[in-house]
Amino acid sequence: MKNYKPLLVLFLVGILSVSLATTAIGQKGVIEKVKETGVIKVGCREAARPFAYVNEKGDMVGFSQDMAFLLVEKLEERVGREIKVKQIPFAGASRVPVVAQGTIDIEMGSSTWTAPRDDVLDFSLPFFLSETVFMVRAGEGIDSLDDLDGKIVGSMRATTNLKSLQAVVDRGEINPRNVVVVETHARGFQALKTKKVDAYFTDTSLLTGLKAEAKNPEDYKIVLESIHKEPYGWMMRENDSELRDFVNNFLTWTLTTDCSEELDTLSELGILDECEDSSFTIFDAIYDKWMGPDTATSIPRTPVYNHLLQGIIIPDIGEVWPTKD
Amino acid sequence: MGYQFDWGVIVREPYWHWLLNGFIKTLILGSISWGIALFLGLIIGTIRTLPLKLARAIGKTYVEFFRNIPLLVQLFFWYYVIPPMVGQWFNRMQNLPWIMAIFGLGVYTASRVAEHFRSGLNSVPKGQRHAGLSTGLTNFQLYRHVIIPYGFRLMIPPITTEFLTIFKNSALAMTIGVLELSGQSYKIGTWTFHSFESITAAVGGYLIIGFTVIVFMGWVEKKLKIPGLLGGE
Repeated sequence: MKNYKPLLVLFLVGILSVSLATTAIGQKGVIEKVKETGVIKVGCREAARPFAYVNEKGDMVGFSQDMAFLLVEKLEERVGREIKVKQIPFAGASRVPVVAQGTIDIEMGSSTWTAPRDDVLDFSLPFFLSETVFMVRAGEGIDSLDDLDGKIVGSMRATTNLKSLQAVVDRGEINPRNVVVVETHARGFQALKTKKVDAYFTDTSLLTGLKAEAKNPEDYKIVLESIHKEPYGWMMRENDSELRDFVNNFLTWTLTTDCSEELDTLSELGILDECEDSSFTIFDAIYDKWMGPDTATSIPRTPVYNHLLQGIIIPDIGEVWPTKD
Repeated sequence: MGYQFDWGVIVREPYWHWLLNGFIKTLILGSISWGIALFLGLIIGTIRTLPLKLARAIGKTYVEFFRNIPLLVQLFFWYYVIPPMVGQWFNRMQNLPWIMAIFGLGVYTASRVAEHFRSGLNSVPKGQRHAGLSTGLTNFQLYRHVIIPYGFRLMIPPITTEFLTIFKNSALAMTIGVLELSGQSYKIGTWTFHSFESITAAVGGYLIIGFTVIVFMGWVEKKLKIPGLLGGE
């Protein structure tokens, strides 16, 4: 038998140095860092349409990525220099560690604000309210949660949707025959198509996207009975108050500024059409570009969501925005 | 501040039980697949050394097919593509991920084991083969009494590697919904957002399995040593 002690020691030292390294990062705020380096690392999901995804051309685009574009414009004004944006793709399952470790400076995708995540990270104010609902094959007589008794339900691994699905199953609110866990939303949709599952649970927005991409969208139906409501926020490292304030001010700014005031910037994003409606704010215009009624991933804004947006507007940001230093 | 470590999630309920459950599942998954791999691999590896063209061709086809396709793709194939073709009763079976993970892992590893068997059997000196045949043994007897006992011992080191690898590859089963050790540690990560800690626990679990396999195979190797041959005293 060989002596494995040195290996074990090496292993423990490895763990220790990882712990030390990760606690050492994060002393310097992102804005200060961007001022020095001129680079910001923005995280982008690869398949979270319409918020952040990779399109046919291979570009990382989406609602949150458009917002990131505008945010960086504003940040350039703030730090007084040109900023290079590094879009870093990441998997949904690893989003908390990559932000906590500082692999990315800000995650702009579609992440639910949850208390455990908030323990290790900070969230911006919510920009979207999503509900966990489910999609079924049309014409099979499933119209509500009660119809799921004895059926097979599914959701994606490492999501809050799966967690809430398992919670309602454990509480006996629905009594499916089996809960199937899939690896990606695309596989979940395939499972629904091939009848491996009868109902696939995830966010309304993501289901709208999946349905839109299907060959025959009319073969599927989204049942708007939710098992869970989730606010989305953009994620930043814990205790970077300067950045968080900046992002929240930015959100207020998009919600209160008329579209027509920023035509130059918005034309770069290709959203001039939306601005023809004179009552639109910047937020409305970007929302309409990705989730408006004419889009494939249309998500009607519910009254609850509209109230939420009105409620988060910070009054009088004029004095601290955007030139405070 | 950065990330706050909380090593307690590894031992707190219910997470401790999730990890234990995953650990046991990994053990079962690896062991049953290993049984399949060893059995199939022995057959395929042996027929690849037979003096029969057709048998060799079948063996080669099997090996090239399974060895050249990534295991992940194979698992998706077994889990998503095949079951709907077999029938809905099979497609909708409750333990399908389990069955397909064991099967997929087994037939894939068999192709690798078969290659080790083949090279082991081929490295038995030609003289042994000729000596066996000239004493009047049939092909079956030759394999049964001379080539396999001899070649098998040569293969123990590479086979140990495959035995280790099957436990490591079993982590891929999580992609088709089997919550083995990695799957459970990721699940704890989602539930508690302490995935560093839970993944480290998984690392520990795999190390325990790995060391056990090495010690066990070392014991097997020692037990089977023929004095005077292959480094035996």
